[in-house]
Amino acid sequence: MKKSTKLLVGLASMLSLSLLLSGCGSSSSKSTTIQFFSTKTENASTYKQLISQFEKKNPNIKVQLSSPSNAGTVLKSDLAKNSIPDVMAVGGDVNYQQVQKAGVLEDLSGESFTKTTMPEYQKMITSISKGNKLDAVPYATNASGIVYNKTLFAKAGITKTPTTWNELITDAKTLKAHGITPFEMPFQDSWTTMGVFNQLDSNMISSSWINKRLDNKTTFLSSHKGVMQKYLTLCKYAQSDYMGTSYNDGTKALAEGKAAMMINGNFVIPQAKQLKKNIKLDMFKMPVNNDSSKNKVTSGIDVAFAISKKSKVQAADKKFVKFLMSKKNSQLYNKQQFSFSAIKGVAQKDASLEGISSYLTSGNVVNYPDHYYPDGFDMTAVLTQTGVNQSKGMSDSKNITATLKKADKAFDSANVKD
Amino acid sequence: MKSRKKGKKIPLTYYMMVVPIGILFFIFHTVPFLRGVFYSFTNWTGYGSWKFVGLKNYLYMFGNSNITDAYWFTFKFALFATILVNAIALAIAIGLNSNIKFQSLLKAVYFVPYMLGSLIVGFVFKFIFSNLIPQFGHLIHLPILYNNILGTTHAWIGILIVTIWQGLAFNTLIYLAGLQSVDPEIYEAAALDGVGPWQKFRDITFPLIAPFFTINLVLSVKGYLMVFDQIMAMTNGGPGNSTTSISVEIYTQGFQGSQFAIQSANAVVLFIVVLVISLIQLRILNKREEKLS
Amino acid sequence: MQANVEVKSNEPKPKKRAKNKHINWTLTSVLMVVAIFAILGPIYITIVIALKDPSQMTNILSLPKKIHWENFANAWSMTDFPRMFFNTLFITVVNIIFTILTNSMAAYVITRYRLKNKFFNMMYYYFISAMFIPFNVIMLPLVKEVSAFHMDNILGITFLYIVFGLPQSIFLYSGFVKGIPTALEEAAIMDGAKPYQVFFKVIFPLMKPMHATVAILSFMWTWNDFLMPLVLLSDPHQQTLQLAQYVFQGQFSTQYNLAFASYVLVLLPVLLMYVFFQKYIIAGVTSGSVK
Repeated sequence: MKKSTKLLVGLASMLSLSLLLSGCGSSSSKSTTIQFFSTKTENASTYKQLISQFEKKNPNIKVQLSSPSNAGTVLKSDLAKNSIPDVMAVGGDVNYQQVQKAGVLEDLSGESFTKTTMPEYQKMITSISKGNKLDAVPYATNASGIVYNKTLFAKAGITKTPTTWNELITDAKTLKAHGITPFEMPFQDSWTTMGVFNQLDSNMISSSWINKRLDNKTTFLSSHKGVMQKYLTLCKYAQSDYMGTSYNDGTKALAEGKAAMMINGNFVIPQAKQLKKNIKLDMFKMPVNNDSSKNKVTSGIDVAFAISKKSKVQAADKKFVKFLMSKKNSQLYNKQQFSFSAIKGVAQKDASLEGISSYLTSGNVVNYPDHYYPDGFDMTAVLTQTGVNQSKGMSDSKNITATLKKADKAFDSANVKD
Repeated sequence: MKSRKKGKKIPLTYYMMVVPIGILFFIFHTVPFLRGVFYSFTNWTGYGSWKFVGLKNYLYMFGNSNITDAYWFTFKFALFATILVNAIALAIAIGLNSNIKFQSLLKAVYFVPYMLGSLIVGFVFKFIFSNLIPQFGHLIHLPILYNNILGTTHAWIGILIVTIWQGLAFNTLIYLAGLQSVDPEIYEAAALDGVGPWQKFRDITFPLIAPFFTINLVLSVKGYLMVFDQIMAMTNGGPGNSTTSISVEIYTQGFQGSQFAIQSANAVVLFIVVLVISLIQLRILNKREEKLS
Repeated sequence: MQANVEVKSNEPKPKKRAKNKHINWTLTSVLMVVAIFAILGPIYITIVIALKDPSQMTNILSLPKKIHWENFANAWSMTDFPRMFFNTLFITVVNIIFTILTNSMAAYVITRYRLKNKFFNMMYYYFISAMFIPFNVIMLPLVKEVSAFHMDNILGITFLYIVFGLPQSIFLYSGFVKGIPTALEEAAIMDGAKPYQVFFKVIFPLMKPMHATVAILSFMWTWNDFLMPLVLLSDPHQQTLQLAQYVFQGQFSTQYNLAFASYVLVLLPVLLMYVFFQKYIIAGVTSGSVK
């Protein structure tokens, strides 16, 4: 009896302590708090830095950053709860589309910070939005391509980056002959499969294809065999356990010089550099076709800011977004994240992106095909299955048919008209 | 008792001890359940207008390979997990109940995994599978270990291993409680009759611990049909959809507008499956217990 | 505690045998080896990684040459550990206190009067049948309902834990209440005790062993639960330890040492509790399932 009384007393005191502490947390309620949600995890450190500067300038505004690893689903469940964060940093993808479609975002087209952004990127946002409003302002853009290790290329005697598909495969063979793994593919994190697939697709399939597919006038099976053939060819030059490597471990392998290339976006570079500061990385345009003039850089909106219609602190929200979008801070973001800015006059000059920056400034880019997929269609699940099939030893032709049939089926079940 | 029955009325206080919390339970548990059943017959996306669509969601479910695959995976997983966890737990329990040294210490150690949250256990094992085991495989030149199991068609076995690691603790404890309730004199008598160890287990031990077997089996199946945390920690349902369980499917798809009603139907089917399996189990196992005793 | 006595009383039996027969050393060593490698192995790995820095990771299993305590400090601030810890503690403690108070009341009345009163009998079957409805089944509509009531925070989820624990608690308490002789209550009534006094002065203290069981099971449930916080809590300040681990997973990137230090921070309170209250926990979990 005594023992349990003691236990109860202990529990009660623990409780009052925790109440006290949680009370302390909320007692400074004079200040406004902005909930800032980000769908990316890798830029959290930059945001944190910017937030602390902002908080110093605006002592009565607190910014709470949240960047969960499964951001898309978390955001959707927030949406289902009807309680979305005040400010959201989303990519120009299906996550944005979902939130936008629900009509919970503030129209930002009239804001002063919107006017500083490039109209091409504003168009990218409106092209995937319902209605004609600008419900998110573009901030940073990304570029897909192939990130490569200059030192390893030199070691294998490759002096010029490939500009055609055949050259790419020849280089991969050369690297392999020198005992270097050509490609690091971190497909355990399924989203990385799109880094490869999107670039192949956007360079081989016309951009009007998706509309035909949405109207059920064409299929993956009838048009994407070539894309898949190239996809599987590339996988053959990947490290042995490419289905079991996570994005983090893959970037680490790239940073440690265990592989020469990674087919993904510019955002790989900061992460690799964080692990190994003096690694010599650059990017080149992925040479999908043998006619080099037809190869384009796939680029899309990496970060766009949106504000909730229901936010109780909208003035503070806008102040915060405006702060992030100032030239100075945008430059800082670019520098740390090796990204490209959607803000006029903010250029990316880092040597690691030399091979690709010019295409972005000239606007010679195509958007990511998967940004137009209906929500609920998960191409990454289809493509990881392809990888498993390949490692099981399934023949390419069988694998291609199986993959594309599966893609069509999944697409159809997600493609419901409302 | 009986004389009181016709006498006094039950005091109001006693109603007050049950009714308020009963109402809260109804509002927060039963109402969502009923609403879920209701949504499953509509095309509601979570917002705005809706109409009844009859059994359309249920028909869609059976035609959607992602959902049927999730059922297939979950059944396969629950079956293997239940059998393996119970077989190994029983073996450990018998071992712990024998004449061994450090009995209580060992018992305490075997119970540790029960205390740990399965999400973190999943993270730790994910690291073991993806970094430690391949490294070890290269060290001893065993090609089968070169690849991270979570990136292969055998990813589900990785999840199974983690589940067994955690699930053993509880099941062992229950079997141990059962074994300790058996009077050792029965064994001594059996030993005099020259009964072998297998026969001893089959004819004496097992019938006596049958109720404990029932508890474990029912709880295991119910728990493993709900598998969620480990998968979210380790594979997120991949590669492909090969480790997407019903719970993971409901979570990842349910919050998407177009699937809200469909996943509500999925939840209803899951409920029926759990109910039917639990009832069948209880029935069969109770009958067998009766026969044995 | 009675639940404890129950298990203890069984222990002398094997010991008695142990005197008669020799100790089975083969079995002892097999069980020890399995325990060390299979059970303690992963825990060892977790702790060792948490104490190293990346340069010592070439041999993952080796003991750290230099212990990096700063991993814990970094993980502590990175995951906002103190806040998450107190959130989780709050949920756990409030849940235990209110579960014991309210659920034991309801269970007592239902068990005592269900044979005489149709209403209470109905309530009994209502709660017991609710045990067959897993949380996953009500998850989607519940999320909608909870947000409509603005309960997607720590207080709201604590409240839900108390309510959702009801079926299991009724199941556990009712078995126990059956064993309490009615004579005690009758005597108290004779002495002029009011109904609530009968419960709080006579019955509630007698239920202590079951309170312990319910407390332990509630603790295990709320401390380690992941799904309910995942779907219900959205404000980054209103998260639990488990949820925070999930949320911060991406930010750890390849800093495995930090990630593992953070796991250790979450596991440590539970493991410490286990070391101190091991007997009660084992007894509680056993009596919670085996009635």
